[in-house]
Amino acid sequence: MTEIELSRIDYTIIGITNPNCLQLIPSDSEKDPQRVAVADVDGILQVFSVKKDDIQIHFKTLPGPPIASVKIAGAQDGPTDKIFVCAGNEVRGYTKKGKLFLTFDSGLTEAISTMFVLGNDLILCGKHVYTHFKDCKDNGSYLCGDRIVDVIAFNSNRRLISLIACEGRMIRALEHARVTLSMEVDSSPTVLHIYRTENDDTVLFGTADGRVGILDVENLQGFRRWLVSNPASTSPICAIDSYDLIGIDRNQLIIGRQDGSIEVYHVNTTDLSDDTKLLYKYVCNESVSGLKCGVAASSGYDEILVVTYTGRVFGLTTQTIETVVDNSASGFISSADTSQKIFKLKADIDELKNKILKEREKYQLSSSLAYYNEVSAIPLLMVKDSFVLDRNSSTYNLSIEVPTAIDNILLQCNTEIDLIDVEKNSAVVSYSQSRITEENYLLATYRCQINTNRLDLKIRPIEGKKGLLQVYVTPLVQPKCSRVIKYEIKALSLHYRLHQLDCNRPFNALVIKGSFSLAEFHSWLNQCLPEVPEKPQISEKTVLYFGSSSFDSVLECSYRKGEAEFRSDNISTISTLKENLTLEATKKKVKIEISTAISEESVNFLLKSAEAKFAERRKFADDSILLKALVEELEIADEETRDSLSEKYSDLLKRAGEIERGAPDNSGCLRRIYDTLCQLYVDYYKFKGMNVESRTGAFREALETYDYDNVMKFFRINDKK
Amino acid sequence: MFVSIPQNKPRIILIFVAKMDRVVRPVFTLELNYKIIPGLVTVGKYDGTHPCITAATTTDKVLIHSPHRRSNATAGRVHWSESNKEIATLNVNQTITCLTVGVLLPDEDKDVLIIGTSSHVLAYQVHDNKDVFYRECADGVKSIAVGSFKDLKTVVMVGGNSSVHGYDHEGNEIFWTAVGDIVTSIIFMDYNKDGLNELVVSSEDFNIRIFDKNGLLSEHVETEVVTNLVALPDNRFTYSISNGTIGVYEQETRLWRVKSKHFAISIHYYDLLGQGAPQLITGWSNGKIDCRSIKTGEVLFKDSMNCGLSGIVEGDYRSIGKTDLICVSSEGEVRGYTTTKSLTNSEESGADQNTIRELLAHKQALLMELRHYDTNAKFNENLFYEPESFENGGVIPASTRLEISVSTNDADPKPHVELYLCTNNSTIIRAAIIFAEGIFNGETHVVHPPLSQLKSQILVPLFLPKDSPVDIHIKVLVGYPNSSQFHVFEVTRQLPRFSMYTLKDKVRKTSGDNYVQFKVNERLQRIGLWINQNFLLSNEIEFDSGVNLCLNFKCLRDNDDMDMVMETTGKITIYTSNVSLAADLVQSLAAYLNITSLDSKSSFPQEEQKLKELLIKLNDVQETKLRLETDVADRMSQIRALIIQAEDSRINDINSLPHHYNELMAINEELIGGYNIRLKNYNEKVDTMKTINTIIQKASRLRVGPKTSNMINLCRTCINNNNVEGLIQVIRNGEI
Repeated sequence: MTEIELSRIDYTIIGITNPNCLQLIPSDSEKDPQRVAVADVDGILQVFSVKKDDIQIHFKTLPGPPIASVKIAGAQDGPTDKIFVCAGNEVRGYTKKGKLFLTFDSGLTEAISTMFVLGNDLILCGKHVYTHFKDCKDNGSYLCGDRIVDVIAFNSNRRLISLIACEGRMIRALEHARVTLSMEVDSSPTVLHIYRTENDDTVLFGTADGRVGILDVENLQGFRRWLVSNPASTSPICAIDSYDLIGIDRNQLIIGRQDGSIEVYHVNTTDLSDDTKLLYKYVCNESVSGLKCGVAASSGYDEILVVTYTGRVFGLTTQTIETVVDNSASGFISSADTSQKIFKLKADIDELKNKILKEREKYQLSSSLAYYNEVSAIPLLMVKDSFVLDRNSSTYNLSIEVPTAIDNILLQCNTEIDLIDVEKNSAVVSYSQSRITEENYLLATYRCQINTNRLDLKIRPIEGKKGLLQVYVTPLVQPKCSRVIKYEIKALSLHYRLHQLDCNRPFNALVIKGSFSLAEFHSWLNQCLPEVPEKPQISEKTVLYFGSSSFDSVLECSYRKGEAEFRSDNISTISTLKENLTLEATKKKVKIEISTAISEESVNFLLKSAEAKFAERRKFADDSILLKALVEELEIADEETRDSLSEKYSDLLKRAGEIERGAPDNSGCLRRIYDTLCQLYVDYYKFKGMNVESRTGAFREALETYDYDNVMKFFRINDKK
Repeated sequence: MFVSIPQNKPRIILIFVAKMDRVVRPVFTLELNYKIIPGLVTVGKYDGTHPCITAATTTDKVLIHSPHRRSNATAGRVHWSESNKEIATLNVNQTITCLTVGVLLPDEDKDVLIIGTSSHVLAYQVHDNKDVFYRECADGVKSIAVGSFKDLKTVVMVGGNSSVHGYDHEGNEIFWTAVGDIVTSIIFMDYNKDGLNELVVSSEDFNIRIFDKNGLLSEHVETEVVTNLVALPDNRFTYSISNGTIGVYEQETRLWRVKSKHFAISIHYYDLLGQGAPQLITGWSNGKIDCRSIKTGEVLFKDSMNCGLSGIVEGDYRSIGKTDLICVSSEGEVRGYTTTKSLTNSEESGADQNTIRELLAHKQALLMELRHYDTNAKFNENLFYEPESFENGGVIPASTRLEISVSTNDADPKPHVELYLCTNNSTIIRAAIIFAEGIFNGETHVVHPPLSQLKSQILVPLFLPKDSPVDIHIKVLVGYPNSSQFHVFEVTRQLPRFSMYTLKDKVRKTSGDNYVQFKVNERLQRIGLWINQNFLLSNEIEFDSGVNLCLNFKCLRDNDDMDMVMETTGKITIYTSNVSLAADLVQSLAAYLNITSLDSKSSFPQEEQKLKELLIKLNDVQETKLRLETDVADRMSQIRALIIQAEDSRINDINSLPHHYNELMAINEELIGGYNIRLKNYNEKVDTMKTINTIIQKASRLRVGPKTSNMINLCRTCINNNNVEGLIQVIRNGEI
């Protein structure tokens, strides 16, 4: 398979962009340059084409409310060259010349966040409401408990089917505004895309943990398989497109991620044996908000057009710049054009600088003259952030991105959390001495290197300890300001939603009765657990399932007005819930009755189920100690000596690299397992009405020389007395 | 002896560099199959022409890789690997602390390998298998450099725990100076552009000192331990610090420095990009190699190896008449790079695109700033219509100002320097971030009061560990308690060198046994200015008239007194029991007044007493050492006899075999016990030496200029002759 070489050309900058705000308008003939339509949160839609390495703007609208989506569509049989934009709750349509032909007030109460246009059908989605318009007439709507993140629609056997991707790891298919199908997926979807081949259309979806999956709506009516799944890159997928960049009559898959990587994959949706292959990767260090493939700059050359969150519009073109050397006359990018562009940009900047100088003086003056009613108001800094649980490592990935270079970031947390070093980020971290009396368990600053717009961090919370993480982001821009963003660390922060529950486990139960309403209890639960939907289900009884990423334990919550029941195989989970819900109820001065039922079996079950993982980790730890001795003390490096060693040791040496890489991560995992088991021990006896804090040391020792029966003795010793 | 026999024969693999390449690719790679200690890599031409990579392995061996060796194997110290004819190892059996090569012998062009272990220096001629010299260094060996120093043509400079010794090619000591802490790196370079090399020494007390033959020429204080120094062309040198900083000095001025979260292991200069002038090549602990402009520090090229770097050297490894840049990783991977003219059009065009990208980023930042002003103006116009509560958005009165003051606070149980921050209205300080180097654990100190205790003023206590001027950069987040955005006020202040001393309220009589006394030809007014600049005083002192200017200070760290008496005659007496404080004051004043030569008289009875005791202890320790060594020799002969007896009885009388072996074991245990005693003895000796050297070094700093070197030389003579009284005399008066 040929790899691709692409070169980046920067076109322009616009304001901050939302996803789905970049489109290419089809041209009359196939390989002619296409026009680019792009819109930003300042409400400006602009359509431009590229000539001689510079852009020519065809039209530009006036600023207005933020534009949430841009789509290209056309009448059923006509060319698809109409531009639709939505801003607030209004949809506007433009011809490619810039003539406004449609202004449609949807009358929706929520602002539109995603839109899809197909012929005469217009689908608008707000945060929770899906509405279908046909010829601008309301054709039904659907209220969704989850947040809707993306919508697409297609015709299948003359029926219009629309799919909505919901944050709660669910993709719903709707027909006539009724849900016909709810498809659960493993990770919360972020974007939907239709991959077209000659015979077949396939629905693809991107996820928050960086994978792309195939959805089989027709036959399986659910998730089929992962198409792109790379454990090394788990950054959320922000944009997907499919296009044939290398001319093999099959479309490649092009994805853009939040960490700024743009990847081109060779994919085959039908043939399982044809593996997905990465053909090209480029990292632009700013999160991608939209990408489209086509011919934009130079006739005949395909390119990937990208717009980032911060509003950079650039292309990754298949035209190699080397052609300039070979054939400078016909080559498109001649350096004269480039230098002219640079010249123009420099002039622009100088002009801006002069302007700013005046404004800066004015600003300073107003602060020194001090009219007593004058104020300094800096608009709120736009921050694109995400705080997502990575289930494999039981950590939260925090990513922060601002439209301009970051100076420093201050992290403050009022509960115990660990900051974990991320190899990718180059910022210099410094931990400040923090005083617990001032509610500062963590005080750390990150000083960013120049031209850093985004920072990725890993945070490991401790289950049972809830708190608030505050992040102060200070960009370099003048006048200097610092935006604070707050993240709640929930008490059961390492839990995630499940759709099904494995009931073949011994369960501990917690029942709470009292004079609380459903909504009240729902909000209490929201304080304890992540991924709780914003609104409770309207049905009689709300049931939610959760799994834990630190232990393989589960939790079932079912509650209604006046009564709530929890079942979990992990005593610690029950104990944490009990504590926190009591706290919430006391805060609200609601009287509650609590009863618990502890299952002795559950301890055995949990230990047994953790055993394999635990043993594996312990073996790994032993191996790495042995390996260190082998390599460093004996200096065995060559194969001859290796052969004379026992199989065990020679195998160790063979796996040397793997062991060394995994060692630091492993020791952390092992420590966490120890901690969770100790907590389980303490919580178990808490329910028995005993305090065993003083004996945790002995318990820990028992864990280090792990033996199931021996450890179980700790749980049973007091029973016999 | 364990010999490693690599089966995969390392071969030099040549890779051709494609003409249109965008990156610099290695021209050869090979595997040594040994783990290499970071920092201990060098390259030597032991036969005068062919370079050999020489490195220390993790098992205390020196590895010599000579791909150009002909088959005639030489026996001796070096052990040639049997299966791989290119690699030889040299067993050292002591921890190798440094490794260097240099042309040491007069009338020869062969490089001599110099190996430093914790207690010895070995100069060894690899090609002829000949020891040049083998010397014990009582002060330990921490770094070595070979080169010319002033009028000395070739000198081996050995840095120890607290001193630098210079040896000639026969191992005779020809230079000595005290440094005060463990020497981390030594280089020779022409610092002051006089055409002759000076000695640049970095030590663990964060200092870089430049010596000429007359003593200290200049001193740079860094924020943490300086780990490495490398001389660069054009009278510059580069340094790396244990906190991940690297930088370049040109004389007194620091051209640039950058900090990274990894550590620089090895630095080299080489013209990798074919610019006609060399670039700075840095190898990092995470395997990254970067190539920077020496002048600006701008990164020009980056590559990375699979594991941490161990060393970067330069040598003609392909025998083409031009040297290559050779990078060695800690796993023994070797990569060679060479000058690559990558000035193809694609590079240029790529550079153009980069320029466009940068310009666009710049424009974006400017547009954003402009928008801030626009919004601000609009907001003010519509202020009347805005909802009354705008505090949450972070809007503050335009007249908000931040006041800052720095003072000393000795009323607190833990006296400190106090930073006072205050706004002039109802706005509160949400947080204060103080960036400074060397005074906090990290580089920042953050004050973030809980929500309930937010006020418009905060006090930040600062504890300065050292007497050196510190720049503090303060960022203060100002707003309202529930604001989601804050205004950032930025202030930079310099804390004077002697911030941790405060004036006492009550003037008391100044006297004491501990003092240093010297004379300067300056008006007291100027000295007053120096005090105002270097101390944190609530009111500036003004000297109008009178006979003497008496000042009583108290140290905030330990409450010790420090008094200064300045007479109109120019006689200055500083009363303190802290010698290094006295030395700092002398040096600071001399620098302020541009004094190039200053002699002083001092009296520090406690230090003198300590010195006496230390010298006696040193004698004791040395005697014990001799006794212990004879003890070892005795035991060795016993062991030999026992082994023979045991072997005998194996054949003749099997029953007495266990008896012999038991005895052997007993002696072995005794030996181990003896070893521990010797180790303790050795450590004691090193500590004693270090303390003595530190006292001498401090005392030398009570003088300025040629007097210093004179004093140091006298001290050395006194110690060598065991002349205690003389030594104290020198420390008191600077002469015998």
